[in-house]
Amino acid sequence: MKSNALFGRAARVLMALVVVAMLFLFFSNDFGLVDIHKASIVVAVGVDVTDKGYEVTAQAAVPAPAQGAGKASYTQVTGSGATVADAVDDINAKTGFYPKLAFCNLLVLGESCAQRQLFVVLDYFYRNGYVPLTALVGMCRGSARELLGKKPADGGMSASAIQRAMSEELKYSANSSTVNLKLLAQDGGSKSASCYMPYIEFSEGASSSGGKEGNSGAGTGGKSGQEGEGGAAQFTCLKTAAFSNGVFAGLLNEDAAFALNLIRCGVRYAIVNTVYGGKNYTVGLKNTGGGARMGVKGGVPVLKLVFKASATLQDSESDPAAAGRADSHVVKDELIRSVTQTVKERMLALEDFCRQRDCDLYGAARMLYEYEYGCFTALKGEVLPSLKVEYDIGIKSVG
Amino acid sequence: MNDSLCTRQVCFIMYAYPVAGKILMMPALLSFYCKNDLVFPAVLCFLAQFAVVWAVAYACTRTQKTFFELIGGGGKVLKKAAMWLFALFFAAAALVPLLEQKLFVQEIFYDTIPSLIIFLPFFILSVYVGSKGLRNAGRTADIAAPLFVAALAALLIMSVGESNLSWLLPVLKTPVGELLNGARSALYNFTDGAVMLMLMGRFRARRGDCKKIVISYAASALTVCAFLALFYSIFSVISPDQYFAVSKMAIFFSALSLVGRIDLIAAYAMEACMLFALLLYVQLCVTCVCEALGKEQTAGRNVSPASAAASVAVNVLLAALVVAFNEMYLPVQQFYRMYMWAAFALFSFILPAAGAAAALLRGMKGKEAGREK
Amino acid sequence: MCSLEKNIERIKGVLVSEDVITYEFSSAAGKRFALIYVDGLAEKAQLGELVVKPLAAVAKDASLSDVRPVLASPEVKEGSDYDMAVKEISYGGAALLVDGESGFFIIGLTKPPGRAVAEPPTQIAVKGPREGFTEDIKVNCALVRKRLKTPSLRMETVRCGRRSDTAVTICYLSDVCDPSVPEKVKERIAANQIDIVADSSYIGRFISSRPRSLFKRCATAEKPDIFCAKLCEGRAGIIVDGSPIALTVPYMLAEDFQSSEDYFISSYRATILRVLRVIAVIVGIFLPATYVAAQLFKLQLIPFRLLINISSSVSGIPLSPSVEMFLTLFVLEVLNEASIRMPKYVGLAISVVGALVLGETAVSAGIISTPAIIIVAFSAICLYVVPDLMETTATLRWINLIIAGSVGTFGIVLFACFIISYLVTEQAYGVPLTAPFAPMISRDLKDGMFKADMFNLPLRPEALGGKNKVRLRKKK
Repeated sequence: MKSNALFGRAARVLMALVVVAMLFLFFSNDFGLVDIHKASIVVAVGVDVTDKGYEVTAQAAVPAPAQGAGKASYTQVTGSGATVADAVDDINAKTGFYPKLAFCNLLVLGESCAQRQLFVVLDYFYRNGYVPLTALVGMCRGSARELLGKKPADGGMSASAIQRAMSEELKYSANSSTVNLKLLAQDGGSKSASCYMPYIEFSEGASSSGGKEGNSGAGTGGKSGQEGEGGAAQFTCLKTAAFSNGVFAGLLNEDAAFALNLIRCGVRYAIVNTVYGGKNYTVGLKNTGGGARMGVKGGVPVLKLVFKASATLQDSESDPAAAGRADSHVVKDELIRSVTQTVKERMLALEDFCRQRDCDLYGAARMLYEYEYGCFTALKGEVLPSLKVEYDIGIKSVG
Repeated sequence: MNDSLCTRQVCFIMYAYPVAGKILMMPALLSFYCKNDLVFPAVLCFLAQFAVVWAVAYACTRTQKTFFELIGGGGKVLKKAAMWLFALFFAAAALVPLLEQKLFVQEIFYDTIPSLIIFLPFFILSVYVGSKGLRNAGRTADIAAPLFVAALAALLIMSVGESNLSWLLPVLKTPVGELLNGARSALYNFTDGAVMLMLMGRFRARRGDCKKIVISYAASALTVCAFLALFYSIFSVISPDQYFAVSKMAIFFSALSLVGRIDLIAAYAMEACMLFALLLYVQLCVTCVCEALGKEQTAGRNVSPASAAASVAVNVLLAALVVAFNEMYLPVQQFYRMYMWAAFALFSFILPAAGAAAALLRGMKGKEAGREK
Repeated sequence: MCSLEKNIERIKGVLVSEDVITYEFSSAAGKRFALIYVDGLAEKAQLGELVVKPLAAVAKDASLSDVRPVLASPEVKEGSDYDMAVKEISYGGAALLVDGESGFFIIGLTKPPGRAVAEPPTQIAVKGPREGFTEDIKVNCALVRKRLKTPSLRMETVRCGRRSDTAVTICYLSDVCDPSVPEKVKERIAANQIDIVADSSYIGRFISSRPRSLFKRCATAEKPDIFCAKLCEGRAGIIVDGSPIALTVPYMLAEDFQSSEDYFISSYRATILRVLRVIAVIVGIFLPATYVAAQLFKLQLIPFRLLINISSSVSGIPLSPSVEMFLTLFVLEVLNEASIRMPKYVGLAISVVGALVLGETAVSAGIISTPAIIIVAFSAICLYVVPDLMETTATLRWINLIIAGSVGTFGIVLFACFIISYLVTEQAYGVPLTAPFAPMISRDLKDGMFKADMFNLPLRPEALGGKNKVRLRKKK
């Protein structure tokens, strides 16, 4: 009984101490944590390679002291350092805000990054446990800092506009080779050792309707505050940057990028323009099946690229729907052949690129490793030179 | 016979807690050793452990005695030594999961790496729960197991869309040595045989209960293997770097971009179950210490001072170890992988099998004696 | 021979109070009588009609045995112990003393002041009975008897309170209830003697195995229909004189998430409502804490667009997120307390001042942010979904907030684990508090979170362990 009481008393004293300690922590609230007041919520990061190392541009949402919802203002800060992490730390030092990368959904690599090993450039983002693997990655024309500094037509953050240009919708319509950090690493680390990412380009049009929102430009990075003052920028990702063994292998043009997207991006509906009889026709292709199948014939790896789609006529220079025909959406056989030929030509353009640059964007080596392990080991991993590509493109008009 | 638990609770413990203890670091560890064949070393370990669990569960239906009561015939010294050794084993088995939990907590509950002090309140809970005995563990399992299943199901559903099973090919091309190495390295996660042995004699096992327990454990093994396969089919080559898969697998679910990280709610629910799974080691350790000291764990409806003191002692020891090895997870894990596997093999595989055999022999002798009478 | 004066003095010597009235009168034959009663407790008009009038008309010198048949009151007790007479007068009876006799009669014509039967402020059902208990134990017992006409209904009255001598009636169905429960209740009541039992909550603590616990050990019922339903499940009920709130034991936490209306409406709807109540309580307890922890430690818990809005709202607020929430919750509790205690018309003004003026001004002055007010207000509404648990859940909300602001999200999970560990082994009268979930009782789960149809609930709850398990029999 005595020991019971003793334990009870000890427990009560201990509990009181814990409560006091917690109340102290609760009200002092200053034990090294980075709360919402001290954090800058980074939504996009741009990386450029410079003579001295790296230049990292962070676009961060800035809370405006206003009540209610609305578009967030943002700021763009650039830091430099010997490594990407060093440059991020430089941003922290310059602004006093701790850059929280948990919401960073866009990584833009400047053209200069092509000089370096891709996964060395991205190393920080893979090591940092807080950067989500869902972050989209793209390479841009010119510098990433300049790209992020552009003001889009809606006056919002350039990061949002770029993400829209790399969205899932555009990926599924073969207009962007959208990838995230995870897919990039998987492709790069697979037996194919090749990966790709969208190549972001911008064009400047009319001035933006930004109003108050837009680049508030912290200015710590130099020009970042002013770059967006010109016309509204439009971002596109129709080309694709390719990498082999982490080294920049080149740019896929729009046609080859389209073919790559058909093979790798699970396209649902694509639009193809073709010229037939000297007239332009635009045909919508609804993916009805297909994919890449790896096989071995006589010791030679054969990659069969299958694309099955049903086609509808979207636009025609020769046969306007307003003429009142009931079958205006039906695609004629000769036009189907023309579209098939166009798709095949694009696929051949991709094949040429892969063979010339020794860049296995198909993932053929990986597929061979997975499905034909014996052949893969026999070829000692040198798959692309001996690879035979077969095409099975079957496009039918809707009824 | 000590009716602390019922068969259903044992089934829940044998289903949820083995899964909870194995899906934190084991997927990354096995993918490091065996790459796309990571499921096979797990299957190897599970097969061996399954046999042990089955044997102990079968023995439970033949005897109402606890393991320590069974070996009581070998003398008091043997009995006491076994109790202390098992207490030590459960304390040791808790160390790596504790360090893993600490890292997991720092990763999923905080945006910036917080200090160790954030994790230390766990030991307050551990002292409290540790002293409450196995009845508490059973009742907790009644709540924790369904919660765990719901959370795991939610996470798996959110994750499955991102998986690509072709990453698991080609099957079994990893050298056998690597597979065995992986199995040996993962062995420190397998304490289920020892747990089952400790539950022996603490519930009234009826005919057919063995089947229920074995099915529960088989389901647990299947769940872990499915989880491992899904994990690798999502992360593939970057798997070895993906610690704490439960908090990362579902982030690719498209709806999360709209509603935020709701997957973390499921991860937190799972974390609660993982904590209970970890606390079971502490509870078993305290139970062994109390039995070695010859003290009851409860006085009436209250915790006995002996149990409270034992729980405080065990937790002080564990907290001291966690503080001491705060920044040394990898060396500790390596030590467990390289050297402690033998201890785990002994306590989780050999001793439970021996215990089951002893129980069955005793049961047969009892039957024969009954016939002679 | 005992003179009337002497007998009056024996009572008035003990009950020295001006509200104890002595009315002396004589019969037609000149025999003297005295009625002693407490002014306001006894029914004077009935005493005049049923006692005084008949006795005044008696034309012969009547002895005690002659008086009894003359009394027209239905509740008459004869006695000679004057201590008992004193008690009975205190309870509201009237003592009739007869000159020259040592004995007396107690006339049970009590009419204590009290409310009429009305709908209680809580446990309201849109569909279902509206009668509520009153402060009068007799009325309350009658309300119970009105619904349970079975001979197995037992009502045993004990008294508690050294000075209040309050009547406490333990009700149970002898063929359903575990007999150890009413016995234990009586034992525990007898073991506690206090000056006054002001409310049934006193008895609630007396009969609890852990009176200091944050979690109660007995359920409350303000309506006889709920009370009777619980008796029929195998529980024992306790009605306390002077309290409109009856108690029932054994208690299970799940009870508070059930409403009487669940049994009157479709089982589908009832199930939805129960799930909703559970979610509401969880949200009410955890939302303010999670909001603080998210802002301090884990921003990812907040969806990005919402985070931007919150971030805009809190920028410029001079307080840290935890202190801001603490203050907002504090204001809510003060407003809540003031609006309950204040007279109704002032209470209305308080709520208008509190909600509109204080809130709006505090936000526009940049002291607190709009999301904090929304979170606290929503949390308050959520907790009121289960009003019977309000005192527990509101306290848990405070504890969670302190933990969230100091330890963070992990602290919230740890505390949840602690609560689970604590609750699973707690029990009231041998019934686990968390039944039917832990230990899991599959049969009782049909009336736990999920509400099965009446025909799927033919048996009484297994957790209560009473006799006579069948409650619904269908004739073929």
